Amino acid sequence: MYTEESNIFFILIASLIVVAIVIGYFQYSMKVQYRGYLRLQRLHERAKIEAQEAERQTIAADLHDEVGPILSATNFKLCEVVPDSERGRQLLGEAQDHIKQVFHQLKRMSSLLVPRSLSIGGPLYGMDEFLNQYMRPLPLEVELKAVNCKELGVERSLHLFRMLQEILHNAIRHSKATQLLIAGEKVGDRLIIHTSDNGVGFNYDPTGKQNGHGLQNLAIRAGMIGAEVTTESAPGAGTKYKIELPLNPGK
Amino acid sequence: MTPLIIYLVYLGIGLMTALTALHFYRRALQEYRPMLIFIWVLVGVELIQTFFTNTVVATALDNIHYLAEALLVIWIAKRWNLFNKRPLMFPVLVGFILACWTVEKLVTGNLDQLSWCRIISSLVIALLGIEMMSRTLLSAPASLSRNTIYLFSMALIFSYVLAALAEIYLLILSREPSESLILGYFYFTVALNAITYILFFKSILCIPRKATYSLS
Repeated sequence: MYTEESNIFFILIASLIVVAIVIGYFQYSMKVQYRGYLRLQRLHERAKIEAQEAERQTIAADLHDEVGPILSATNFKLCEVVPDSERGRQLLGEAQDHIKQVFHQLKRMSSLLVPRSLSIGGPLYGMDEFLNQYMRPLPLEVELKAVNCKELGVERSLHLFRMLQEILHNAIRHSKATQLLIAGEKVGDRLIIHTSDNGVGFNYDPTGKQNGHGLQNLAIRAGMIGAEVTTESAPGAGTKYKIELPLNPGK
Repeated sequence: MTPLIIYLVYLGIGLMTALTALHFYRRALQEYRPMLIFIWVLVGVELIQTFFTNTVVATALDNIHYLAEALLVIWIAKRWNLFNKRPLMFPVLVGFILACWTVEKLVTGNLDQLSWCRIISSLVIALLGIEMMSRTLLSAPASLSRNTIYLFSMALIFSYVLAALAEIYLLILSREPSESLILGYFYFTVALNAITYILFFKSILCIPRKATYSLS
């Protein structure tokens, strides 16, 4: 026997079921799409970083291997010129000085793009070169304990070097730190790099959603070389990073 | 306004949408053509049912058209790459809808206008619409009012969710239908379909055109 009350009850239940299915599916679908969207964004960032590094390496190699020899040849030819007046001798000397300056600048730019010591001793050696050549005078006191880890290879060393550059940049620009420690150590077949500054610190979001572009790049680069990054920070307590990765991931 | 005038206005909107779909068919990109066919089917069925009310043709069309609608929407979803990551979903959905329809129409012999199969197919269409919409919400959030997929999926969700709800009410209340209930259902359906046609019309106008090439 169907009464009006039971009809209303059935209609309510059925409507609720339909609305719940629709809303539930919408939420599920958005969640799945958002996950896919984030994955695509990560791939996009990764591709951008890879393209950037490839471009930098090409520019550095071109400057060093192509423009450099042309300048050397030009300088050599100028040395063969015998000026017939005092004015000519003066101009020739100035031209040779200019070529030396350009050559020096080229080496500097090439080395700034990809430090040469990366292939000699790894990222910490690269950092040492960077700090000594290009960061003088330093706006903060940096203590660097470098360890040779040539076995990382140039590509992984380059990514680690960029991560350390980002940490240094953050310490200067955002943390307003006066001291920064960068220490590397080999533990078994793993490389561990600890960094800590005495800056203002920040509220670190472990999910990564609230973090800035620099920290997101750190995570992307870490993912690219199979490294784990641990971040510890709080307002007024400085910032600490621990980067850990296998020296030979193939083994 | 009498129900007849309301119905004629509604048919006019449907006809205008179908003619616009016809006009844009050749110029539309391949992947949007199933959508235009779907709109023709909707309007075509409506027109035929208007002229053959209470005949065998109307009953047959009434029982076939929602199967066709569901299959067409699944086809549209396939053309819009909804099943790329889940390729099995396409045959599963087609099989499910066909099985539901076969069981209800051929096995149990239910040829009534109201049926559970119709409710299920409406829900499937609405859920596919949600899937299409959630994709566009993230990929093209800035131009949603001019995004064909978004407008079309909005129309599907709006139309089929409400249609499913109305079907449920009627299915429960049809044991004792009154004249006012039938008239109320008529107005509701006409208003719902008119809004859906307007959304379809706007989505047709936003379809990306085929690129034209010229040697001059």
